[in-house]
Amino acid sequence: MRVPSIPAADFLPLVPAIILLVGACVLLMTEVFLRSPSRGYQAPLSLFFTGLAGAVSLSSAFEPARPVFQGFAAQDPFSSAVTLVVCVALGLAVLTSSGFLRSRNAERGEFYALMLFAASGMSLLAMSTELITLFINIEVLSVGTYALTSYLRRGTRPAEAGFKYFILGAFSSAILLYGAALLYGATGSTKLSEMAVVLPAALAAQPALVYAGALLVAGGFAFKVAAVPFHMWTPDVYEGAPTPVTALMSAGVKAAAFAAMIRVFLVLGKGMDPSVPLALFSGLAYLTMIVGNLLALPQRNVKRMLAYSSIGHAGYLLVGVAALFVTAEAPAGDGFRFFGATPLLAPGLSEVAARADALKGLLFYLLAYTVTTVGSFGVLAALERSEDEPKGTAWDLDRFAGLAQRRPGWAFAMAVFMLSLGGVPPTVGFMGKLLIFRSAVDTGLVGLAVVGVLTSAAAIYYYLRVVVAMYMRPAPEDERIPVTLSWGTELALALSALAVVVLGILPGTVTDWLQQASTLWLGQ
Amino acid sequence: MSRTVFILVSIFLVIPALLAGVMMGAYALGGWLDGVWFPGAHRLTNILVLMLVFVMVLASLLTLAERKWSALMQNRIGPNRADLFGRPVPAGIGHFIADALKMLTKEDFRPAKANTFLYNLGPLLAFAPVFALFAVVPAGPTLEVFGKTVDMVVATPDFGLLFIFAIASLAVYGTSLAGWSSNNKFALLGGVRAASQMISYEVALGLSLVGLMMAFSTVQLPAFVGEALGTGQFRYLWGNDAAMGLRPGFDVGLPAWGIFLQPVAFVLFFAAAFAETKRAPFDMPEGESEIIGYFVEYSGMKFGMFMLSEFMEIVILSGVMVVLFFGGYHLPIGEEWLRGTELMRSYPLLLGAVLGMVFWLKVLTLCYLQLVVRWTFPRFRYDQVQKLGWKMLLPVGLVNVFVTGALVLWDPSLRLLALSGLLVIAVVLALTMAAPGEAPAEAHGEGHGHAHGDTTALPPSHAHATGHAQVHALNAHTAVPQKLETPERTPVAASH
Amino acid sequence: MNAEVVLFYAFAVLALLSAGMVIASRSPINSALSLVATFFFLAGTYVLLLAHTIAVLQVLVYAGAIMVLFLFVIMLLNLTETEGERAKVTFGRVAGALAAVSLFALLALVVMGVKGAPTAMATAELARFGTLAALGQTLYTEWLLPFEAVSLLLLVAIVGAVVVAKARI
Repeated sequence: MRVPSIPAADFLPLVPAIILLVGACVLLMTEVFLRSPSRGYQAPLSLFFTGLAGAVSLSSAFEPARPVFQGFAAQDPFSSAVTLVVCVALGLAVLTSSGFLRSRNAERGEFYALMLFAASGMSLLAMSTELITLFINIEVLSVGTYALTSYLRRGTRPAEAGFKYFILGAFSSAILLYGAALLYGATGSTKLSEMAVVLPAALAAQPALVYAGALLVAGGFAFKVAAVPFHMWTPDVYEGAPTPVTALMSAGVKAAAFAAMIRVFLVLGKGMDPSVPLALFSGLAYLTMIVGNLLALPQRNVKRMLAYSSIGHAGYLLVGVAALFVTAEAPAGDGFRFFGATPLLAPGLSEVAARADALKGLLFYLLAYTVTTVGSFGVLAALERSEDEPKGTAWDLDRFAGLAQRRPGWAFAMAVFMLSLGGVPPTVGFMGKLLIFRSAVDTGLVGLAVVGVLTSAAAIYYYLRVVVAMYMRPAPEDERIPVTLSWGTELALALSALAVVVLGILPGTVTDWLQQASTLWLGQ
Repeated sequence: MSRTVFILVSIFLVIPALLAGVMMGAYALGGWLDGVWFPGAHRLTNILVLMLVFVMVLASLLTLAERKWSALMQNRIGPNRADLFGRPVPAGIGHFIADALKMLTKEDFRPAKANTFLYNLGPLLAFAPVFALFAVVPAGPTLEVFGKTVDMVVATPDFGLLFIFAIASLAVYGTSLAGWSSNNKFALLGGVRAASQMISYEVALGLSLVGLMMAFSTVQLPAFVGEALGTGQFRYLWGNDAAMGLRPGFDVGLPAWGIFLQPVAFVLFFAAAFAETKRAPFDMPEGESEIIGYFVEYSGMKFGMFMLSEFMEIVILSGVMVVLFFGGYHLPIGEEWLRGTELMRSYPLLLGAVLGMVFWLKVLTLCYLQLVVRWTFPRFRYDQVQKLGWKMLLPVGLVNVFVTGALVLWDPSLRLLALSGLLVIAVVLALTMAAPGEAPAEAHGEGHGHAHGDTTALPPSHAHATGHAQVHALNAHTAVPQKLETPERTPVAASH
Repeated sequence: MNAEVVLFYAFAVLALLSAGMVIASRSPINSALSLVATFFFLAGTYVLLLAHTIAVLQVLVYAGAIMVLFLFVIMLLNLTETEGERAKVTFGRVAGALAAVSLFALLALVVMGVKGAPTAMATAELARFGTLAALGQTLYTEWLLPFEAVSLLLLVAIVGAVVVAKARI
């Protein structure tokens, strides 16, 4: 009988996730044993665990990649980077929630605990290299966010959002699992490392099975990252969820799901005709960029607008994903073609270098999007009044009118975030888009880059509308300054605005670091 | 006087002789069928003998025993009027036949607007799973009979205990559907209560046995019992057996029975399984003083099937407990010597008869225990049932799993586990014996109308149930009503 | 055509029929019971695939626990046959139906194209395959990480369920 021994060192990569897990359990226990009515300690406690987990993942970011648990997970710079992004999103979301929840008298340990649970699921997802582990961790983060979505149940919206998210999420998980089952049937393994070995033979023997499996897996992931045409749930769920939870969903869930998708398809793409994943992700990117940004145009509800903008940003990220699959030489034989001639790498550019570039762009974009979107949802959370929620006007554009006179600091931060989302220099959003589009052009995906630039230009319209409302329209008469002043919100806004500007002007350190991490991961 | 002599004779002579005789017949039949048909055909006769003869007959007789015992507890005589051909029959045996005839000949009533299909399906679904449960319980040793290997069990699946859990969990369909399809509010209440109660206690039921599975490293019931010397419960923890290097004439020692290793698990399992049988003090689904129960609309043999399945559950629960905690068909001491005697070696059938008798005597004792419990304790209120299941049995079961795991890992010879088990038993006994006089005052709480006015009828375990967590669980039956009864609540009268 | 094949087809056909009944039945309680039957026939199929433990767990978990809760809820809410108005034919529904049918057809084509390649197993391996011992050994050693991840998932699900089920915040 084969009894593999698992060395203690295999548990080291799990440490960030374990820290988050311990933090969640501690927070749950405080709710049981500390009966004091003031729960102000909970947000700092969560922040402490988040910071610890982020620091640990940062410290292990440059260790060479190695498989752990017999190939069920992997410790590599990629997973560390994603964990770090998740920790950033989580930390900012926790800061935002403390004031948000206190003003609604809803601060409870289980809220933070669920956030930490979901984040540990994201961290584990980023390092999973086996389809079943991957599926389970997707479920961990999804179940956490389902519960968080309907945490505040005032009015019908949160219940509807939670239910919709749950049903559609379960549906997409089932699709993903079905695809994984087909892939297992074709290759006889669920570990990505073993699949990579068997895949060429499996493709020769049963191509339909592999392609159908890959398609279904891609569909499942597309649901999770809210890519068109699997985006229907996004606006309703984002709108119905408590705003800090929306922030975590739009940043953390997206980052983790993209990480898992990239990991799976880098392996699946090895055996198959590279034009298939390329066509798949290019198609998704085109649709997502165009539809997401077009639907955002008419929105007057800022939260819904941000939801559609999140779809659009998934499109830009998909451009980066598509760039990962461009190869140096044309595939042998007459394979399956979607868009005529498959674009090839420019001569003299090595495949690894191009992929590392694309990956660097992706990771940087994820980080940029995280700080920006969590910040903008933070402003939204600070502005919304709970009495408006039943009327559905809590996130109306009018709420931003004249904000610059009433709270100039918030207005400035929001303006920075909007410019960054729109990709206006000198913000981090611009740098992210620059990196992604540059690697798209480098890999010959000019069409995607052009569409990306055009849709970004269109998007500036609806982002600027918020800025215009804040700076050029008078405040309504009955408007009172929101009472939800808390150090957490202020700190979150200050930190993210600072990050947006600083990373936009001086991205060098981070991009170098990401470049190093990507090369380290892909270079072997 | 003659009555006492009759009872004593029947208990100590007739019943064992009857059991031994039937078991010997079962072995002989199995060996014969194996010879004339195919090897393994004895499993068919096992179905006949174990499931149809033993379980069904015992269950039917228990209906009578229950009435007799309740009469005894309540200072009545009990059923004694049914004559057979004009002659009085001793011990009210005639009622057993009369009841059966009544059930079979009564009108099969069906309420208007009841869902016909489900209404008819209910009793079947309640009866069939219970009937199938005994299939994995070994009732006797594997022997060479007429040159053929004959064992006394219907099936030995690899997943043993899981079969019992899986099939037992299906019985709830019968009760729920019966309650729902009767188109009666009271029946529906009973069905809903049955479903929630059985779901709650299934968790504790499964968890309670995990420690035992770890100790014996198996889930198969024959392996729990132990076929060969030195396996399962067929060995001594401390004793003068061959393993100790001594070769005495008669072997004595402390057998490695589950009850010594896992007394806490025994109490948890007993309580949880008792709740699964839906008998008092867990008779919420039935609640004969308030809602009458999920079978309120059933009459005739359909009702009979519900009743019979309840009594079969008693027999099967006893059988499972004997196998898991009381050494199955093994004698506590001296079995090695018995197997070594010339007589037993030359006549294996005799050994089968003796050990089979031992098994069934143990089963009968535990059946009796269940009747005593049923007629002794006042019933729980609904919320108390749920609290007992989730807040006491479940946590104690979890602790038991961890403690047992640690002890088994530390000392695989199980002696450490046995020491801890004996310690628990000793503590419980000490606490029980310590203050016998205080129990009535404490138990006779304001809101407690248990039927026995004479509180001395309560067992001594009504004493202090504080302190030790495990003791607490052990006395859970009695401790809960005292602790949870809130004074401002309207008292809920016990049913009997 | 040996007994196993006959049994397999019997279980398969019955499972499909009862699965169809789950959808077609108008009364929720009949739907739930048909689902229970489906689980049973699936368990039968598992037995034929030598996955005994999975089969018994299927009965224990799905038929014995989860579906009882379904019944419990149906009985508590006293759901009866849904009258409901006739579903209108809209563009979305037609498109959805077409998409579902074409996906089903595609998958059916794919699965039918799979060539069977039975793995030869040694008798000793076959005897261990699917037993509780083999399953436990695999789960607690090789599949340790997913196993622990599942425990995390269950913990999150419990906490989430309590959060969603308790009084409004």
